[in-house]
Amino acid sequence: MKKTIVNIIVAVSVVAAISSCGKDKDDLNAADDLLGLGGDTWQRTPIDNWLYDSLVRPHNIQVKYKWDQSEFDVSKTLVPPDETKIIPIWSMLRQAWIQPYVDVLGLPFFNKYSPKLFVLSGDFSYNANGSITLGTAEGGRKIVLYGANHFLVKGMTGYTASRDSSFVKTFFLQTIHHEFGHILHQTIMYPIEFKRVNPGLFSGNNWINITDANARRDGFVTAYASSGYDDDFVETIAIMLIEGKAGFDALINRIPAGTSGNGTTQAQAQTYLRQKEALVVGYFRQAWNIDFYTLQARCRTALERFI
Amino acid sequence: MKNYIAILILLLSLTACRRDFDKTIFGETPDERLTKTLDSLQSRLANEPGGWNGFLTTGTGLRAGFYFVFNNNNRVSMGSDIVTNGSRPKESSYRLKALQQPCLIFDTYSYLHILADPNGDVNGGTDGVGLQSDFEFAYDPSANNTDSIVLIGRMHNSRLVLRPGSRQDRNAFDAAGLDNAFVFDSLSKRYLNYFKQFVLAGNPYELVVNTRKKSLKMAWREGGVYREAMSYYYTTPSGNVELITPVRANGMTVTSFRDVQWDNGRTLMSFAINGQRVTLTGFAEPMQTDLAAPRRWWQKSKDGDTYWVSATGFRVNGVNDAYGISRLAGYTALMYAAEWGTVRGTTTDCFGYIRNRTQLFAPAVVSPPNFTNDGRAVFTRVLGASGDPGTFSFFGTSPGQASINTFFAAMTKLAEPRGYLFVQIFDTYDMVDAVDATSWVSWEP
Repeated sequence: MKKTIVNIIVAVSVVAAISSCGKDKDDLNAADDLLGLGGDTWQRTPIDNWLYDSLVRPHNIQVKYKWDQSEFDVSKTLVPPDETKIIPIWSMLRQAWIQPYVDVLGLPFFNKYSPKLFVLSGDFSYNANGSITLGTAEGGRKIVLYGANHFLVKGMTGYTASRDSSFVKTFFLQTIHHEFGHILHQTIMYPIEFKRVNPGLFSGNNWINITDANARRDGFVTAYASSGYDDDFVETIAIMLIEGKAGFDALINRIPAGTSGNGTTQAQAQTYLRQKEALVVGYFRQAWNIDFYTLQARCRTALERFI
Repeated sequence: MKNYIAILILLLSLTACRRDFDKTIFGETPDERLTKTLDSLQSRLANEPGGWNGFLTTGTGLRAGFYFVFNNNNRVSMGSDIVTNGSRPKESSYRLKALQQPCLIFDTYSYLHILADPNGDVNGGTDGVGLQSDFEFAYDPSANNTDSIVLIGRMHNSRLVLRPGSRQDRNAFDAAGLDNAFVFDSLSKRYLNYFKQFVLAGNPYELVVNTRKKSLKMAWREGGVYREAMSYYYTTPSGNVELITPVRANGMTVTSFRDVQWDNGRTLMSFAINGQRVTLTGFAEPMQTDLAAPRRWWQKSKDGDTYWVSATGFRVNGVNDAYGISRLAGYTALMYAAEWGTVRGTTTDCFGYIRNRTQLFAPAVVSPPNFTNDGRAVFTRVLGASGDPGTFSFFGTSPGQASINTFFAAMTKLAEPRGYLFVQIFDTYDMVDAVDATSWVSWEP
């Protein structure tokens, strides 16, 4: 009898334990009330409308200029850009970056491969080693441009060519050409010959201690180019595009006589750079069926309107 | 054994589902509560007819006054008393957002961001962190009350306190930005003497102000006993001075100096305290000298192994930066350090200036200064090895003969034979000449 009672108790308990947690069905509609679901919202301004009409609609490019800490390195002190700089910057980039690419590469090509998210910071990103970061890119999709508040181009009050022209060239356009170059070679790899031009002269992480002028004496367009093969390739593209044919020739011809610290002669350095130029041009022709010199001429002509 | 298992299962089944946990503890979901909090903050910010006076304390200890007018379309119009041209209203954007806490984000560049800018060239701060200020603030509804909204910066922990402004503030801001707010802050430039007094209800009160730090000290006698009180302050667009810490003196409470005016004809500043108009007059000596202040000032530099700095230099006989030190090439700040180093085997202080933020030029000063019994410090220059009065010993690197010549006027002034009194307001010391209080330097840590 006792055993039976125990069994009954066990049976009832098990049933109770199993059934006791039959909650009411979760109300899935409650999810509609999640705060911030669907992203940040704010009253649209003329700037937002301009960006939508000029970049989102034709190219599906989003520009984030209002502060969003999650887009940045949380350890860095940064500030959002001044609203008055947004349209001038993007007006310049539309003319000096998007338009030449679209003209030469075609709209479908540009829209397919261009980065899709740009984030702007008002001032530079300072690094522990004393250097500053001008731009970063993530996965071929997102580019962060730092220093937007310093943006000044020809025609704006306070523009001084000697001080501000290199800024437009290197901070904005060089960064973007550079990142676009990465996207291209990550889609179709550049020829292996490019890695064999001057392989022994790369400096890896030590590039920050090298000046651009000294890097050129070893056959690199910039110090950063000497940090690795991929960056060498895209830096070569970027410098060729912002300097134009004449500017690039001048850059090569300015390499001084004598040998570099690594024993590279003037003639060797110039040859390396010429080889790289030829490989870049060949890559664009073979991989993308694009005449690089046409793209170069258009990019430079467009840029010259601003500096 | 089986019994135990049965009992365990029984207990489990009885206690398994305490249904009351099913409901949220606060009766609403976190999202509902967040939405409610942000909505109430939004309507409070935007619907305040007098706008908001803001008082910001950065991570570096800098204090700055702001004025904000928020609207319901994510726009804010702002004035600042610390930024160049900050008196002119500037519009930028803001938004409220739920991050880990409810947050108020000033999301495009404004006067507030100038202090937070990581670029030292923009605000004089350190490259990489600026003045350790913020533009993304956490809002803690439980810490707020009807008088103010307290916001804490999420990056550098700076503190922004918002207090409702008045209709007059709003009208003054719309008409002239913060121009009126600068009337009180021009105080240090208006008077020849460092010490000022006013008379209220028959009692004299001394007022000394550090306009850079937004701090002031009032002193008075109560039943023959000397009393003093310090407070930080901010100025409103209509020209009122609001004390952060009210001062209680002779049975009354002073919370603000209202309607501050500068009378150009009589060259006097006046304002109203609790409805009574008072006029400031200059004094050549303090109501009571702080006898121990010179040594405290010196000891702080010695113990902390730090130095005192002054961005503005000597004010002498009504002329700010009388010796033009701040115009020297690369000038960063004037400095004084206790026991900075040794000259020919003797420990010395030094008094000099920093240029390009890191370079020092500082002639040696005898250490310690002569602290007199009546509360003065008298400084003596250390001469060069030859002992010729035209020579000197110094620390750091020479900035060139022209700069040295300019600087030496200040050096000579420091060695003024009567020496200096020291007036402490919170963590700053004003070094005031003991002759007639017509020259002074404001030292900051």
